[in-house]
Amino acid sequence: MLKILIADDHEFIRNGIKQILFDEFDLLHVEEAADTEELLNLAFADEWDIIISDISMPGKGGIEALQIIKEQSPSVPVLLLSIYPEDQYADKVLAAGASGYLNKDSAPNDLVAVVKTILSGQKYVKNK
Amino acid sequence: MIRILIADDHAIVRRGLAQLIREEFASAEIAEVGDAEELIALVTEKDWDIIICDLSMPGRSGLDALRQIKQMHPSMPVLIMSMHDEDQYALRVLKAGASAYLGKDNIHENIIKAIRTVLLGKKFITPSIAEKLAEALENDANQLPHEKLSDREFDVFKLLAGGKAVSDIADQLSLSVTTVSTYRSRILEKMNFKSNADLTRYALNNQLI
Repeated sequence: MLKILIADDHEFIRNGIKQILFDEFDLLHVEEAADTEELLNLAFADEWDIIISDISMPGKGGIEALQIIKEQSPSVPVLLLSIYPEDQYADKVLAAGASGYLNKDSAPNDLVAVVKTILSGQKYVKNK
Repeated sequence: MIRILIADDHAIVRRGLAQLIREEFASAEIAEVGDAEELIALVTEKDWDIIICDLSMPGRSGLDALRQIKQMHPSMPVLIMSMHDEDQYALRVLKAGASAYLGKDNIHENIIKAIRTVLLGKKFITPSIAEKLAEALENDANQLPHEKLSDREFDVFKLLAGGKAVSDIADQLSLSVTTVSTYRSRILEKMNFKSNADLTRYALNNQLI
């Protein structure tokens, strides 16, 4: 069973991500966080195969949350999403320990492909 | 069966919205498009019971698309959603003919209510937008005639009230005579006056010249 934690302050966006993943993966357990505090609480409450988080959330924000998660659980892969183009943030979040960075306007197939890449232990870097 | 068309450049947003709507309207036919061009193409192709459109999309904006849809199908309801605060765009969007305006922060709680209301042929207005509308009405009511003018119209108004001829104003402002004449007609209409003499009298009474 694949365990995925999704963090975004917009419920319909969490729904969208969840739906795209449920369409692809048969055995999936998903938990959701609506802000950074909830994300950090849940991140350390269980073992996750991947954490997918928005970069801009109320509270500390996705990048600071990423740093905290990587300090305490270095092996858990984190994929950050945002509305900003890849070239604006990708290097920064990868340097901070993310396993990938994806723009929210990416096609559902791209999200699935990136999640699969990360689950296989690799990092996702667009066009590099 | 309800036919709903969702336009947003973010696939995840479209999928999330479609899912949310399907939970409530299980038999709905839902189509998704990623930009205004595709949206207009699908609106041209068939009828929709409601269109849900993002305000900010690459290329032509949702507001442009809304205006074109309302020209093509005045009665087709369009719900505009946006990442912007409700206050910023709500009035402009509603004036352009939208049936509802939702900020993305409150979409989840309002989208179903908004769809149901719009399908009944009504507009869906959140309490904060209703308050904004009331404020706008009050402001309109208290506005002096010259305060309704744009900056450029006000420039032309002062020159006309000061007795300048249209051709002189055109020279002074580096505009064509036709453009100044158009400004003059707009100024008279907005201020509800009939002649340049009315403008001069008003300007003197209000110490504008």
